[in-house]
Amino acid sequence: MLNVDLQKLQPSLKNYKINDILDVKFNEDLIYVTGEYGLCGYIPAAQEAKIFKCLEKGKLFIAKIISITDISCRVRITPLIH
Amino acid sequence: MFNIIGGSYFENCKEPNRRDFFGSGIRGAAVLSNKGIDILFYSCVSEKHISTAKYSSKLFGYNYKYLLVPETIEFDYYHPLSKPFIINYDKNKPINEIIIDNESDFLYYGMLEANAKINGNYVVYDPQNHRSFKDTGSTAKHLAIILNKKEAHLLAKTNSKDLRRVGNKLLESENAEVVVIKNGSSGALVFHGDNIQEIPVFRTDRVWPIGSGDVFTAIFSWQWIIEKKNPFESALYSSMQTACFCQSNILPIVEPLVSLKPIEIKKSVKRVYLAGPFYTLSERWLINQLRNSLIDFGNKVFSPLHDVGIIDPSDIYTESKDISEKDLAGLDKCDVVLAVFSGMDAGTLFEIGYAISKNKKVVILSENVNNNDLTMFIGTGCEITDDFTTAIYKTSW
Repeated sequence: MLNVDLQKLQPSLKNYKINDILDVKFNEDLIYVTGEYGLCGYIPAAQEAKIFKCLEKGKLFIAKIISITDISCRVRITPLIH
Repeated sequence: MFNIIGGSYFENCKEPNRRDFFGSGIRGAAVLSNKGIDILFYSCVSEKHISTAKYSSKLFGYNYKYLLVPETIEFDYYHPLSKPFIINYDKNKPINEIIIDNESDFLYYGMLEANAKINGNYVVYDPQNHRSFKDTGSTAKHLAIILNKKEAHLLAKTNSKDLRRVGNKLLESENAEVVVIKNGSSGALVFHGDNIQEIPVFRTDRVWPIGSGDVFTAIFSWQWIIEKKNPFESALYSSMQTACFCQSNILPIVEPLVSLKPIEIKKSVKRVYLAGPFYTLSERWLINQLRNSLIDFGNKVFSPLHDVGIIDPSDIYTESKDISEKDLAGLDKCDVVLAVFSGMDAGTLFEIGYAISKNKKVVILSENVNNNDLTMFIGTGCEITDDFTTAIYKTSW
């Protein structure tokens, strides 16, 4: 379990609200958080290494929005348990 | 190409808990990454963390030249206003020398594990490591130096409380066109030629101060070097953008929908009454930390723990009158009360109520408290936060 402030926030941020559940994905060596309205923001460095290893092994993660404003978004990242 | 020199460091904080990979250099590059300029970033990192450094460059979109060092430096903070422990500093000695041979523009943050020697055109220099620009062996055709009050005193070799004198001395000794002295919650002073201007800070709901000075310097460099704004306009815009960062801790900076309001620069020392229980070691530790931070921010603090003392439980009936008289006198004289609400100590609740009845400003640090218990305090206009750092700023503003 990991709480992070997403960086490089995207315009679709405005569509999301607290408790929304988003997907954690990676592409071109960057890990990002996305949902039904599109890309929300990126996982910052320092947290990236341990998530990368798991994503590459096929593990899935979800990101729950625990606080959100017009200029910030904090998510709690947890493994997706089937 | 716009050059940025600066540290790539891990920053760990216990309260609130977080671990970041920034340092001044990466933060500066991240701040300017959405300004439409090509950035070349010079820094140091260990081989173990080069992939993390590359992740940051890809995330924010800047070019880099990394010098490999034995260990990446880390800063450990207990809380954002505490003095950090610096980890791996000694493992990177002797200090590396980076020579950059191009006469372009630079944003230059001093580093702990390396010294960069440059011959720049426009240069904004933020010492960080207490080394003067001259001592780096560098030159600049146009130089702006941005530093905090402590660094200003060190580099100007004076303890003068008159920051105007300190700034003017730095203009001369550093042969700089501009000097900006950052003064925490009191804003900044900008020196340019014979002109001096005060720059306010902007009020935010929350304050994340780690890296805020880096953000100020980065925005200033963009405004002054790239946008060709004058130093006063540059500093004012930097202060506003820094507030946006302090509010969100998000990079690149996102401006809020509601514009931030500047705070009037205080002309006199604020008298703060520090209320809170001090029956246990942890309570006394917290009171001591709050007091130290408030004093660092230039406030005069009345703390019953420090200025009146601890009551003898076996003598409570004879000592109580004397203690309550002294505490109420302290409350009467104060401008603002900072109260530790956690635990809802009866004495603290009394002090808050007394202060409200006297129309004093009250800031409440409230952790682990049921919202229903805050009704009267919200309703009477107390400023409430669960964050140590924010409580210090709100009290000092």
